[in-house]
Amino acid sequence: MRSKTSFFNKAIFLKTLSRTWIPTVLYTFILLFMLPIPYLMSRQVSYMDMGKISMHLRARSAMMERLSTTSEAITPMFFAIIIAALAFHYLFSKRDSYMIHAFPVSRKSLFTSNVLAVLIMTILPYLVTSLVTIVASLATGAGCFKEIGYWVISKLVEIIFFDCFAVCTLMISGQVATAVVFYFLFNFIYILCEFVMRMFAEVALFGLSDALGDISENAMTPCAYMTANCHISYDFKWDEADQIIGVETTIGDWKVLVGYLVAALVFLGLAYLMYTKKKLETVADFITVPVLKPVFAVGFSFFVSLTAATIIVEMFNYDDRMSYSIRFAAVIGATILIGIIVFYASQMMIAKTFRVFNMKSGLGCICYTLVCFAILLGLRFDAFGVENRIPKLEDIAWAGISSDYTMVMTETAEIDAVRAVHGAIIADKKEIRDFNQIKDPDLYRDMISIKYKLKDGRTISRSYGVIDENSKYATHEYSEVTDAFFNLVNDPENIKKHVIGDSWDSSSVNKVTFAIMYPNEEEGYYDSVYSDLGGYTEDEQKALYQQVYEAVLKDVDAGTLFTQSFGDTYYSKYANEFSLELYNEKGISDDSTYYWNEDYYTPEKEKYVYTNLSPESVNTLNTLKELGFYTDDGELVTNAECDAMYNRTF
Amino acid sequence: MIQVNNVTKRFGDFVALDDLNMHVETGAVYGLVGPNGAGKSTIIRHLCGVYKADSGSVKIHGQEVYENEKLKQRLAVIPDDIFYFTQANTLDMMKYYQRMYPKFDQDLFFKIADCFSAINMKKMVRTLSKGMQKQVAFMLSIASRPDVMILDEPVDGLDPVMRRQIWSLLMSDVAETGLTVLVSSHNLRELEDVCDHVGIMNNGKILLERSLDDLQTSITKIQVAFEGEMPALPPEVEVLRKISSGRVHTLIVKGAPGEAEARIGAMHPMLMDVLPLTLEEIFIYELGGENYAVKDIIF
Repeated sequence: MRSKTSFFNKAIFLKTLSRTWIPTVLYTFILLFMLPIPYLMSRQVSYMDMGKISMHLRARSAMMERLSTTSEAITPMFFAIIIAALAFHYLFSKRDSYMIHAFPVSRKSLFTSNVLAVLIMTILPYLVTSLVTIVASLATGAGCFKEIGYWVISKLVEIIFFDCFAVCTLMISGQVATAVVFYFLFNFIYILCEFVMRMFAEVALFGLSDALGDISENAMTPCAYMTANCHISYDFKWDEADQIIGVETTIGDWKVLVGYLVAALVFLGLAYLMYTKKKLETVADFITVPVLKPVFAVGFSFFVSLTAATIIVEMFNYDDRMSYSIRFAAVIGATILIGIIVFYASQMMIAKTFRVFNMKSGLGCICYTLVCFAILLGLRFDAFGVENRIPKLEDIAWAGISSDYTMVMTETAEIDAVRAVHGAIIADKKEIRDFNQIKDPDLYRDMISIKYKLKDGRTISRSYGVIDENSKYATHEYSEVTDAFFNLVNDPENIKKHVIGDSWDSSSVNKVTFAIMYPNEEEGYYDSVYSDLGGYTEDEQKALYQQVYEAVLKDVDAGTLFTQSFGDTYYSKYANEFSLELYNEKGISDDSTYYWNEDYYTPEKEKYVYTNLSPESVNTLNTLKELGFYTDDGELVTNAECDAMYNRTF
Repeated sequence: MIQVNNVTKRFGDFVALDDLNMHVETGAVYGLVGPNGAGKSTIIRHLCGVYKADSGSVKIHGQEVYENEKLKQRLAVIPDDIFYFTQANTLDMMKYYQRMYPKFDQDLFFKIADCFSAINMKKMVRTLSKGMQKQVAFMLSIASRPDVMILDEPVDGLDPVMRRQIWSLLMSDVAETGLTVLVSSHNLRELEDVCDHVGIMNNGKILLERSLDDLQTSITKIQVAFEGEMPALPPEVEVLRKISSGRVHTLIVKGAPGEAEARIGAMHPMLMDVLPLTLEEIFIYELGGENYAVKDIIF
């Protein structure tokens, strides 16, 4: 007959409290010195002089600054593992583990009593801090109770999540150091794996040379994701006289907190399951959960070998000496070879012995190697559709294409045109991917970047190295690629809309800048002197600037300005600086900033448009000359002449 | 009563307990002996509820031990390597045991503590000498008022005075409360004075399990001398071993001492003496020694 057992054991609970009170007290002081104490000491924003504002606004701003700077999730991540490891310390020593489990206490009592103690000791510092903060806020009239409320709730969710995650991780290994390493590793495992895959893609896959640039945190990286999405931020409201008149606050996403709370419960359930099923003879083992041993061996071997192979191949390919196929074969070979070594190393770690060379591990190694080879071969022949991927039209929010200029298309027909260019590149990939093998120093090269923003929020970026479309190496297939590209980016309407701005036809010009170049033989370069329209009133100047703008638009229509080419256009263009400062009351778009770099903001009313004029930009040049920006054609200097001057001097 | 039935435990490919059976009567002092690696500590960890058997059952008082909180409250364990909380002194440990064991007797604890006056109750237990730590363990365990006490190498590493003191303490508790004691050791000499039952283990199995009385009445050592050559012994006298030195012969005879003495006495020896057998000798002669690696235990 089995007697009933409770879920709580007072002796264990009190013992865990007594083991963990010192770090809890220390952490409480850290939090107090991070939030309410510095607030009470200064009661003003640390980084700026706020001028003459009300005491309430000053206190509110200071409080928001403190709440904002203590919103990160890195400290709870560290604190949780410290307390959890202290509570479950006995799981990592045979003597302690045997004795604790020999006492009249069941595993469920041990688990729940310890978890309860961990939760109390980790939550307590936040409760104390929030209480002191509320009192400080009440005493100083800062208010911000909604924000303080969100801060404490978000912190509680964070610490509960990290507590449960830490307890779960501690059940996986029988060695405390390994368990702690696993904890930090698992916190960043997703982004680390993504980093490795993207690094491999950068080196080996066609079109993914900028793959690392798109890496970003997601919910699988809780520390970074919670910091980014459960953040409290604030902004000042200013009046016409640049005086602060208010503070606008933003709190993080409640749904994220709910999501992590659910995840915490899942981890807690998993931890309970692992603890109740734990075989105590596995104390001091590298991994205590049998099913995770092969997972670790395979995952560790694959990612470590892929990282090492990618770095080694990249080192040997420093001057692009390898073709695509050779590079890929080298990566596969190195990954397999290093993978076998790492596989056995992982077996040694798991078995805690060097004697792992037996039939069982041999079969495991063969299976791993075959699967690894199949995956890499699949990537080589794009079985997973990475290289050849062009998103469906209906899935795309916007599509951008960038070379000399960046254009972002939002309309269906335009997006489809970008897809067509992308399709042409992929169709000719066998040729384009080995352009780096053409060792001709006179060959001009360039890059095309394509970026899709999908409606589900994901981004797909590709970059392709291209060569002069007029060179002897350009084949018929390659011409189809360049034709598609140039037809899109050199279209005058696209240039006006995407390079100048969507409100190009209703914008005025605030200023035109043009620099005259004078040779300076001693220094080896040309001195730039900026022309201005002195002697005119402001309205007269604007009228003259408008004339320049109209000439620019004429050149755009004529295909002589803002056009792109992969050949030698740089040296034939003028080095004279030329820019327009456009103005539009309703705002003027900037594809590069607003879309491509995803710095979403309200379009500015002013926009600077820069370009290098070429001898073919006759309308603009003539107008500038007529208006007196320059008087003599000798003041126009090409980039080739600049280079020649530099070379003569040095 | 402790009942271990057909217990098997594997650690990877290694079979630590191989279909093991063991039975300890209530109130018995059971000595579990065996060479290093025999599986003594492994079966003890099963009896404490630390390990779960791969197959078979481990019961005390008819209840499975594993995860049985109530049953384990009637069980006290002293492992070979004793655990104390860091920073805890003897009084802290007493409070911990008080919370763990409902029948913990604080008066008894202090009464026993008086016998071990050298122990500073306020000093961290981990800083005490090994012998003192063992004493504290006994104080805590006995004061827990268990029905069953499981001891793994309890006096290993202690000086003879300390050993005697601890055994005496334990035996007085057995006499007073009818405590059942299971004690493991790899030294037969140590157990001879305290155990009334003995189980011998090797390679994860119990090779022999018997009461000391049974053992002592099943084998006899007789020294005899005859005038002239030793005559043939009657077939009823089963000689396990014979050692001759001149006309003096030492016979190890199977069977009760009185019976063997009467039969040999009827042959009118010049000299006859019935000598006591030590536990070590009993095991050697009973089991044949080398066949079971018993000599490793004894010598």
